[in-house]
Amino acid sequence: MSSPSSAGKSTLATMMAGLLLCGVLATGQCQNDGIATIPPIPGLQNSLPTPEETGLLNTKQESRLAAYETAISSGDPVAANDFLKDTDLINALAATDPQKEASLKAMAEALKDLKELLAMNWDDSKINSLNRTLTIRMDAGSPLSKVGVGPEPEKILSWLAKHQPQYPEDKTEVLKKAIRKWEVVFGTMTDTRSVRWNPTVNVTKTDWQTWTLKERNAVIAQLMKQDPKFMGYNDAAVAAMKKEMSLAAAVEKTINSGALTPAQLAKLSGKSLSDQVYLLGNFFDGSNIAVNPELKAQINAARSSRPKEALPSQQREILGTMLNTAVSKELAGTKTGAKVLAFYSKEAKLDIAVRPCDGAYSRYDSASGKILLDSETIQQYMRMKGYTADSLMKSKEQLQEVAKYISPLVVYEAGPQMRDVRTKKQGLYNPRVQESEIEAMSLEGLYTSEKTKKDPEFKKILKDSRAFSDYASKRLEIATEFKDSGSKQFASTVRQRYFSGLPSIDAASSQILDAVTVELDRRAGMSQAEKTSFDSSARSLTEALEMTPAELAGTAGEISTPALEKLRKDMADLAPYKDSYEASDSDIRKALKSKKTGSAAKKGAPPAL
Amino acid sequence: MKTFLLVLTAFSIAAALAAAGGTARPAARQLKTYTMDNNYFSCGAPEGWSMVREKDRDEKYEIYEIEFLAPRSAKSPATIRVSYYSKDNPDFSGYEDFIESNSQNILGETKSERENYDPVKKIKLNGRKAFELSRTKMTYLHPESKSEESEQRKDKIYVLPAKAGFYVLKFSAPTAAFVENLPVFEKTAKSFKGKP
Repeated sequence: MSSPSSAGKSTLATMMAGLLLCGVLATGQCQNDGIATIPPIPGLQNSLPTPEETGLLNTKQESRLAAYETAISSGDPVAANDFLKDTDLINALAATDPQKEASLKAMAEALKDLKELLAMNWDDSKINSLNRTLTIRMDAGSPLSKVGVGPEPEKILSWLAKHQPQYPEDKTEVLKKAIRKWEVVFGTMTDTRSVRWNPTVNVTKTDWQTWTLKERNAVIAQLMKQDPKFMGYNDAAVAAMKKEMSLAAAVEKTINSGALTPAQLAKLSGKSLSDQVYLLGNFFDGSNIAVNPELKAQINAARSSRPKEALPSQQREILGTMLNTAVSKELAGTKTGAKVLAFYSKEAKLDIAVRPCDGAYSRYDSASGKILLDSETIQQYMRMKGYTADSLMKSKEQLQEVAKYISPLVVYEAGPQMRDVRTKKQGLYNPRVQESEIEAMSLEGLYTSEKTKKDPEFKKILKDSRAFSDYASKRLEIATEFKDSGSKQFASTVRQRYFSGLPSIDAASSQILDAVTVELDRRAGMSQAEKTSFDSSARSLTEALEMTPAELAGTAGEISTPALEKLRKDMADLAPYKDSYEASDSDIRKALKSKKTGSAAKKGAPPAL
Repeated sequence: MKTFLLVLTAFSIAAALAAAGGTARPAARQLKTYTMDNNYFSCGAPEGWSMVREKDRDEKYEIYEIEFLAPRSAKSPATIRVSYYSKDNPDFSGYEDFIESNSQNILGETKSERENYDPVKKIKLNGRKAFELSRTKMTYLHPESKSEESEQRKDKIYVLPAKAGFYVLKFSAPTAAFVENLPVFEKTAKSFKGKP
């Protein structure tokens, strides 16, 4: 806690810095929203040499730059925001010193992003989400750590105290938990904790304070294996434990229901939970065991597939091809579906594959242009309905039912595919960021809400499945959430609840610009021959464009110089990205509104989307 | 820059007070009034609750809102959000649309295993025409993973039509914290003043 005198000094220092900055910016910058609007002087406009011609900034620009550099390097988010709006200076700096422009922009974007991030509604239920979000932003060498917000996590608290002294106390407490403060994780009674690694190591409070979030999380992950009380730091582990407990309760109820024969009970005795679930599924198959249908469905949904229910790889291939047509039929008849189909008829081919998706319901594979649907999600549906792989292949009705069930996933994955195809056409890097997820989830929400109104069978399938399938229940919840909250609040929900571990476009740009600029600076010291030799074996632009922002930042030293220059160019100008996200957002809002008001396009007219 | 100037003005006042030998006093413990940009509305800010405002997004969407968060509570805090939806907001075509969207789930149900929506009531709030919506919902806390973890929340919403747009006063809390925090919401609602 700061003393009154230190607080006074700090206020005075902030005031002085602010006055200095405002004084410097007063020459055309302290107007409106800080956007420079220096009126042209008739006759002189074309005769004044530009920074490109002189290779120098003018005096006013030099002064502004110096003030921004001082303020931004001390972590001032207000100055960062002002700098990003100072297009006059940014353009001049890009012409005279592109390295400095990129570096300063990276730091400014990172500060702006952090301020926006912390303004969100963080509470105890989102501690682990906030931890993931900060882990990718505050790692060693990140732009934030260069302005004093990291890599040691506690630095964010000092930064808050200095730059956002009014930050709510409750949210600060949440932040302390998210950065895994020693006292929060281990309590105040000890300064040492023994961790069974190989060999056992003693972690001290002093070590902890120098470690990054990534390092702290690695220690906590290790502790989780030896002490269940640490499981609270991993949402997935908590979820898995709860699910298993619920399943164990269902199995116990079934065993105690009196509906099973002594022989069946004997077979179950002493078996592991997963074996019991599998055996119960076998007992239920084709029998009339008088067990509550909900318990049956829960056990069938949770058990692994029997051989006849599993989709072997050859049948998965065939099913993927069959689903292309069946899903297209489902998409037709909704405006959102029409938008997706229009994309697939003009800009890409709908190419569905059914494969295990490692814990996800679906994935878009940019390299092959395929939409991958999770085979287990389909198999779970088959188990709930009593379908086998053979019956699914032979029955058009069963296939169409599965197509209905998974169609929201295709709409969702069409979002990243549209963005991928379009950015490739523009020759731009396409980072996976929160904004693209907002776009994809909004499309899905809109589609599901349209489809439930127009297609009673679709509605029935999701309605009947929701009690036993998280997948179905979540599709309905996403659509309800989108309908209830509107697109403004929905975007916040996606950022905080669904994809907090992804960077925003600002954070991605900042992370990439910083890494790329540092690496290009290093290469500037190489001879031409060294550069040519390096580039001949470095990673190509094609490879670089497939990487995530974190991968790019981590491997900038292995990427060819032309590829780095291209990435720097793309990430230095976010206008095409932001314009595109805004346009998409606006389209979705209009479609939602027109659907609700009934003022949709007339029959035969193109969809509002 | 506007924010910066505002902060600077506040600092200047503080500096002037200090120079004049004034002493900063703690604010009186009473309901402070929050006034939204352009005087769209004002309301009492609950004492001890924190505030969240996203000014840039408000302007972009033409939905002006302030959110108050209760001090420490269960998993997620009780919240009060006071919003002004301008007539040009992109999300809802009017108060009827908002009410319809928020009084049933996507399947058109008012009751399911995870949700319960009470019938919409026509009421008077501070002498003006209003609607009251109440609902209880189970919400997935981590829908991005295959987690089933959910929390039950209860919402009470007042919707007030206006000549240009409409107002929404929304109180949301985990069921266990609902009754305890409801009087705070009612006090804020009572202090609410919006444009006709």
